[in-house]
Amino acid sequence: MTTPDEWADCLELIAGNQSRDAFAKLFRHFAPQIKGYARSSGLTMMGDQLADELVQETMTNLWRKAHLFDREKASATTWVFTIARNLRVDLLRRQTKHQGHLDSDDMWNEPHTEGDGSDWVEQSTVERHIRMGIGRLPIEQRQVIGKVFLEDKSHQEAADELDLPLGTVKSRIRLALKKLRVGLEVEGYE
Amino acid sequence: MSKFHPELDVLTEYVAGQLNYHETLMVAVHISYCEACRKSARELETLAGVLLDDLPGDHVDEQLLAKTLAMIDNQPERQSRAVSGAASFAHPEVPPPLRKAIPNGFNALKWKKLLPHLQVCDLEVSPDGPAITLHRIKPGGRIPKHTHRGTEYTVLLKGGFSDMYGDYNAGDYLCRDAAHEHTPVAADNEECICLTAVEEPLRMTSWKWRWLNPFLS
Ligand SMILES: [Zn+2]
Ligand SMILES: [Zn+2]
Repeated sequence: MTTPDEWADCLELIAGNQSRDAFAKLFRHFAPQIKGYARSSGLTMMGDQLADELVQETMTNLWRKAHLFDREKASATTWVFTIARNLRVDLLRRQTKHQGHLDSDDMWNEPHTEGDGSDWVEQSTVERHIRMGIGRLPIEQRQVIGKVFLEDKSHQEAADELDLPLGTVKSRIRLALKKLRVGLEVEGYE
Repeated sequence: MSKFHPELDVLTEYVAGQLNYHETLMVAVHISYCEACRKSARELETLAGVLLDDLPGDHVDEQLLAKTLAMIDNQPERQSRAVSGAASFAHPEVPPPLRKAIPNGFNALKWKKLLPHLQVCDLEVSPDGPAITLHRIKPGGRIPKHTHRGTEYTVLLKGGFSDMYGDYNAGDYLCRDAAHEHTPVAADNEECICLTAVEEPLRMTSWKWRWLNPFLS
């Protein structure tokens, strides 16, 4: 079983040596996940074309930006998620007539940009907690966070789909985040 | 350090890529001032990465790898750190998400005078509807009393203002709906600049200012 650190190694091999072997290894691991993300978030409604586009764009971005990857700032999985999310939003915006002047990279700080105030010890502690805690979440909490993060559902849409009041969805998410110790930096979030 | 933040569910939707254009921009600008929300967002991204990791992968054709490798051969020069970093930007008072829209600083923008102490500048119209505007208020300037028919998003970029609900400083994020009637007043010592998006036109409640309605929509 490979550990997430191996993916960081691959990214560094791409950055340092433009290693195609490392790229192929990353591709075989992440491409199915990115496509799964594209599918669960509804990009495949009109066939596989947009999903394949998302896979290709994310992977070429990984190649192009590999030298910006900093394992002290984020794990490879986190980094891949942020890149795939940004490209997904841009891809969807490109399907509409009216686009804004700014694109996703202006709207989301990427983990490699300075000053996100966290270091590796903190990052990996956060990630370890999440990995340990996520399997122990009650199924109904696991279900809503999956919907919100990967299925392109707003809290309201998740509530409609599960036939629950919005407040219930919100409180399930908050309970889950509290257990995973995620997103609670601002005091007074309860 | 900011005192007024987006709610946790808004931050969650921001990280998940759920918010519409102007809301995303508002949160992004707040985050560029607020270390706590920046950390929270990073943690939420870590969670999303773990969820992505747990997702049953979809079948991907080997051909797509071959095609992608071919694309890589045609890649333009790689981005350098200097280009992607914003460290050399000459107008540090403009937060990073707005640097493309305000490349030469606040003073170089075309401001429209609405009142002796109030100027506005339209940055762009969000693809999702509302205009995204800057308001600039002279020190001590007062905005006429108004409510909001829809939701009003504000992030303070510079200076401070107060209303009956509190005192706000650079970076603070406010989301106001129709239930809030207020009369914002800029702090005395400094001009105040804020970024605003209103999902529906403002409705002035003070009869003296009814004539302003067409300008504030
Ligand atoms: Zn904040
Ligand atoms: Zn207002």
